[in-house]
Amino acid sequence: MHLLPTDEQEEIASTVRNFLAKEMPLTRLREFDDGAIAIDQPFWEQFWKQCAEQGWFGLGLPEAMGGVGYSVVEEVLLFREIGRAVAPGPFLSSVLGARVAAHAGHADLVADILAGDAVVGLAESHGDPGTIIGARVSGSFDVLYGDGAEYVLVANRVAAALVRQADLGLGEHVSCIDATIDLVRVHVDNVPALAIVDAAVDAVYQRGALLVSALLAGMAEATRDLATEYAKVRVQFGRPIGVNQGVKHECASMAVRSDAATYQTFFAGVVLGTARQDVDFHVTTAKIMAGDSAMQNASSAVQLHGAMGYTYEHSAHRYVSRSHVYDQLFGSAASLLDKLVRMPAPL
Amino acid sequence: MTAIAFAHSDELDDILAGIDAYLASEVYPRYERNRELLEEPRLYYANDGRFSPDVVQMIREIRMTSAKAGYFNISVPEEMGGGGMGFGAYFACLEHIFRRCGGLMNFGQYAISHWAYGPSAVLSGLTDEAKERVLKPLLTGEQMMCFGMSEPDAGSDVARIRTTAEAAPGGGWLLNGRKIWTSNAPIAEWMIVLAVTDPELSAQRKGGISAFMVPMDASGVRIERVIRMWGEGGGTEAETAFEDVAIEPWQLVGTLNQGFRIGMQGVSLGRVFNCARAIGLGRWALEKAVEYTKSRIVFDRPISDYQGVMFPLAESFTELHAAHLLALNAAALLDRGEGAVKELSMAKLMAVQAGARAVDRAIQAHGAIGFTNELGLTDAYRSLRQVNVADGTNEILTRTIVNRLLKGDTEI
Repeated sequence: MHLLPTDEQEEIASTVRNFLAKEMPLTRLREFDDGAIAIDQPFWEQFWKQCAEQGWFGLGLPEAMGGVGYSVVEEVLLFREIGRAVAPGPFLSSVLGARVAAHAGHADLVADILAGDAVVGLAESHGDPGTIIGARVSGSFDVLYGDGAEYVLVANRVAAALVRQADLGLGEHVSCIDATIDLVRVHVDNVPALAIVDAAVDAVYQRGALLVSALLAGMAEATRDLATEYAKVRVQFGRPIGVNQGVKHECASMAVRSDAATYQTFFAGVVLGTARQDVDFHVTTAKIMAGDSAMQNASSAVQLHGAMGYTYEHSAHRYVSRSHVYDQLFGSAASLLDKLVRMPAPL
Repeated sequence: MTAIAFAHSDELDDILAGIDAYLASEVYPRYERNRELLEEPRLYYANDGRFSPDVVQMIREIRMTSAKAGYFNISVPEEMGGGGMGFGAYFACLEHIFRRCGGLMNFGQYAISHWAYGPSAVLSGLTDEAKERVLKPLLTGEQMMCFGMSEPDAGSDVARIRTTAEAAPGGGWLLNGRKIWTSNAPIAEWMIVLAVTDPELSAQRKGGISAFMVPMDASGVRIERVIRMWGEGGGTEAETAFEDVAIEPWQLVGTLNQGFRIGMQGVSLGRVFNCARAIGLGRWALEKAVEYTKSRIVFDRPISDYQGVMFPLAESFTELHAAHLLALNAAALLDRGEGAVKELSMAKLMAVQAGARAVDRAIQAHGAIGFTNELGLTDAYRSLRQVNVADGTNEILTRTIVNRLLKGDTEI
């Protein structure tokens, strides 16, 4: 069991990081907000295809199922980088959707998702976890990244399913604080699922919680770095503001928080899929810690940037917005803490 | 320099100046004279964990000298023989004492009667005989009482008490049960015991509980153990058992089956007391810390130069100042005759948390020396950590606030 990334894993992570820094830098995200980039536009299609070509969507899917054959650990590293860059797009639901399609034997659909030709949105349930019973899906959901997505992933602790976006019917379009997330509220009753996998076969929901933790951990690290860099260069009273303990101690606190999130997430990734009795404990803890770290660090990043921090053109707000949204996915902190209290102690 | 815009009355200022003189003449010298007694655990505590007789005597002397000087009974109603001053004065005097005495002279607090240990409006329901036999020595400070309410199964949920006082043939009652967390039980002469006198009413939470003034040396009253806390060799809290203790009619406090009211009456006074304790001790600790940071040199600079040291202290001063204002406001509302349930709960809730945090930060600012006995900061910390539980836990107080809000009391 390796708790730190191997050289090969570091290579995977840095490739993703460099690609995103080049193709989706923070400054480009403004083009999303302006509507200059949208899912039905050429740039986006091209970007998505490039992600697909690098094997992102099948990274942790077994080769026998059409995937690249790495494990969830590599997926954690991938999503950490996506989080770090606050890259927009339904990466998570597409990755998980490919798994569902693969288990259900839909090889063509798997190939389409992995090639970037089919996009999967994410249905996050409101309140009740939604039901997936007998190949039918019911419940009230927020569909994230539905724009341009032919399929939507619905997952809970019992099962995960793919449904066609068209079968969900028209919903209510709702503005999201993260403007790069298309958000539609739907209520569905017995919608047919074209693919289903039981959690006992593949715990897709649990994997989703872990990968969201990775996204959030990446965000916590990014904001730590943004604030720390700024503290070195912003000069007030003749000195970089980082010489003030009031500033640098908060940078240190951000580092402690992001490290705690990252390493708990790594550990959860390492134990996922093993026979350990405390896998759920570690995934749940990772999600709670990563969400908290991402939100707190985002807030600190705004504060440490002074007035610049709350401007639109600075990117700190993107981390604030997205961390709040992602903290709600795959279990809010309150519901997870409630769950955690009832779990047996970890090994 | 004053930080509070609404000044004390001249009368209260004079009283506080008088308290300073009293402390200088009766409390500080007693601490000086009894240094060995107070610093040596084997002299401080008896074998069974209660204060040694010399310590009990010291506490008694503080009560009695303060009673003579006119401060002990300052907020006891005039008709009971006290000073008749209100909650605002009570708060100001106690806060002043805690700020002056700090964690090093903990017994300074006995200079003002606490409702659970001495006279207060809570005792206005005493029978005439009880006033003669109990109230008189309580007023002089010669004797002390304690308040037996909590039981092993009844802490925050006081209505769950199981101690019973069954009517005895020929009048009076027989008391059976036990009480725990009774502060000062090991050294008090009297205990007010809350007991169920009407089980049906009590089960419906509609009353049925009565209060009795019980002498600690009565047959059947037994201190089972002094509860040791914080690793100390003794303490002020005890678990007391009652076995067929004979109670006579003169010992009933207030109205039969409505004894719960006695406890609730005391609660306001007690919470004002603990606000004063938290704010007074918190300020004492923070002031010490600020002074220390000016003189302690680390890396060639006084540690007051370091934001990492000073910012937490500044935050604590801010919080404690806010708590101080909350407490002053709650006391003023009480003096106006208002219930102030929400405001007093908020004041205590904020004061004890801000106070404990302030002392904790003061310890941190002092470094290793912050943990020494001689500075008294750890004593102050223990005291404040405890009142985050005692007299209404933070959680219960928050629940009380929620209940008031839901009833439409949302003014702040």
